[in-house]
Amino acid sequence: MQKLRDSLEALSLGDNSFRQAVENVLADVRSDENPHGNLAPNLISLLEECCDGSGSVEQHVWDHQFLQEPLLHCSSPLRPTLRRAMAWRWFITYQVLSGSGAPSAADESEIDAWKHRLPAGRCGPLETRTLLGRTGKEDRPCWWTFDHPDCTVEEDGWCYAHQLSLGPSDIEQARLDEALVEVSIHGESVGPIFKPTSLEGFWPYTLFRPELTGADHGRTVPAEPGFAGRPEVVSASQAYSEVAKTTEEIEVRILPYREPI
Amino acid sequence: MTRAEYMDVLLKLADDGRPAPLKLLIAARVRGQVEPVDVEFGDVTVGVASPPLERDEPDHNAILYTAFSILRKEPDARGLENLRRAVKELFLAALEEEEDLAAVRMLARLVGHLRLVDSEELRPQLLNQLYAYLDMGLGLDRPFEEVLRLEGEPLDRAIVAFDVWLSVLPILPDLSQHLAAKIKAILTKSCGIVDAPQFALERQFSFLFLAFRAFTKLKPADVASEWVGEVCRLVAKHSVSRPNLKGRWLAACQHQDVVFDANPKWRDAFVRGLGSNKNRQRLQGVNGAEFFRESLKLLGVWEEAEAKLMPRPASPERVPLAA
Repeated sequence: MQKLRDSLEALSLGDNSFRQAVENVLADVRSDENPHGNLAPNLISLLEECCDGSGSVEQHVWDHQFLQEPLLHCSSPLRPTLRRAMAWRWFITYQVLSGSGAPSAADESEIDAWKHRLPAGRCGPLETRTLLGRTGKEDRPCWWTFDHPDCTVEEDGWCYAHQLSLGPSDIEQARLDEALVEVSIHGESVGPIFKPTSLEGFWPYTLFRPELTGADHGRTVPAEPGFAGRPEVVSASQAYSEVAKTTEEIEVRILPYREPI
Repeated sequence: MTRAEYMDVLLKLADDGRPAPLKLLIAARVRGQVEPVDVEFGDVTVGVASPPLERDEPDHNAILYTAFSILRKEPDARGLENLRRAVKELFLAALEEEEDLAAVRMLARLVGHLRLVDSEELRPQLLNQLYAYLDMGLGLDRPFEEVLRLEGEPLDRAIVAFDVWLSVLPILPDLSQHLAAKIKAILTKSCGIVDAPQFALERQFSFLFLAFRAFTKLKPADVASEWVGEVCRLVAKHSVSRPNLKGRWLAACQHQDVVFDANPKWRDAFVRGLGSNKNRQRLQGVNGAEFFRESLKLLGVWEEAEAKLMPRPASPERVPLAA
């Protein structure tokens, strides 16, 4: 553990933006005093071994997420419906029109036309077989929230984005689009889901905090006061062409996004 | 450098019309370079490093799309035009210098996303430059119409160039008959070539769909009367061995419906061509009629097609039962 701790602390000293991410990993290590820590001893041993070799500690952390080491992570129970929110433009560009297989300049030049079909305030189904993109980026964890007694259905895009602590990229784009998209999908179509740990939440200026009470889901803690966050799980992302084999439709809600005055 | 600081620099370079550092910054971003780019501000040189991707940031282009969204809301269009010009020059240079295909594709998507088609100055330049590249720059020893006989990376580059050409081609453009005839020849040849099993590959169909869309912009009624059915036939035939092909075609139909919705004049021109004998025969045939109908539904023109091709028998005149 000492080598891992030294590497992480060196990263935090050299790049302040990783301070919270490093604190999260150190707090997430399972021990007698921290029995619900999400990083089991065998996972820590593997990370420790990597710190002997070459490469950056950030890369070692990313290489040990659930995507690469599913057996060393805590799977989460199946949920009937999983939900994911993103800026309107990101939804049309990356989920409707272009996946890794077929990104097209001609498609992207016509994104504005979709404003007539999917304006703010609209909700309804979309056929999965006509979606060319993916539920998320191919080699990264795909983050989902789900219905929970603590959370109400949110109709306001600004509130929803801040409850989920979406990143500045989504927030700024949703503000410019004046719309946030929520995609809902049958849980069974997504594949195995996992409780997110400090390894999945490891990025600069992270707002993720490891969940240490033994709950079966994680939570990203909003920076703004007054927001409690929403429960979160992670999965591998999937191409909609694969999702279409088990699910005909996804449900889409376009929430108006307006910053409070 | 934070994301917000990086964005400020990007927007300032665009607003101030400083193409050289702007191009360096964009080139570094699309290639995922983390090393800072030196940018001079007066007497001070600042190292501008591309910010790392966030948790759910889709790719390296996304931040440049956001810059576009910001600039298009500004009352002064100069910043937006400067950004578009920088992207155009980077794309053409990458294409002609045969740079890594991944970088060429990222730049191609930027050209599309930034809607160079809306630029009165840049659109005709790029259309002409790309047409010249396609006609002569590919080094083909055959007419461009037979581009689908290429294989591997040369074909991929041709597809990217044609895709970008299509993205800047306006709807119902006032172009020469010669060009319309050329695009028709490309579509005709492409349909013939992909009909052969050895050419019915994913990338060949990508090009065919682009050619179909290009001709739809030029001659929508001809496409409706003749080519929708033909492409449906080819997709149905080859999707047995390529199951994703149907989804790609139906997605293209749905996208076209959305684009038609935003351009009623274009849609009307397309609908005028639906009532052809060829379409009537296809719908009455036993092979592929259902898939053709499904495609027309996703194109959002089924009601009109049905009225033209399958007119309902006239209702018998209603006569009072008792006078």
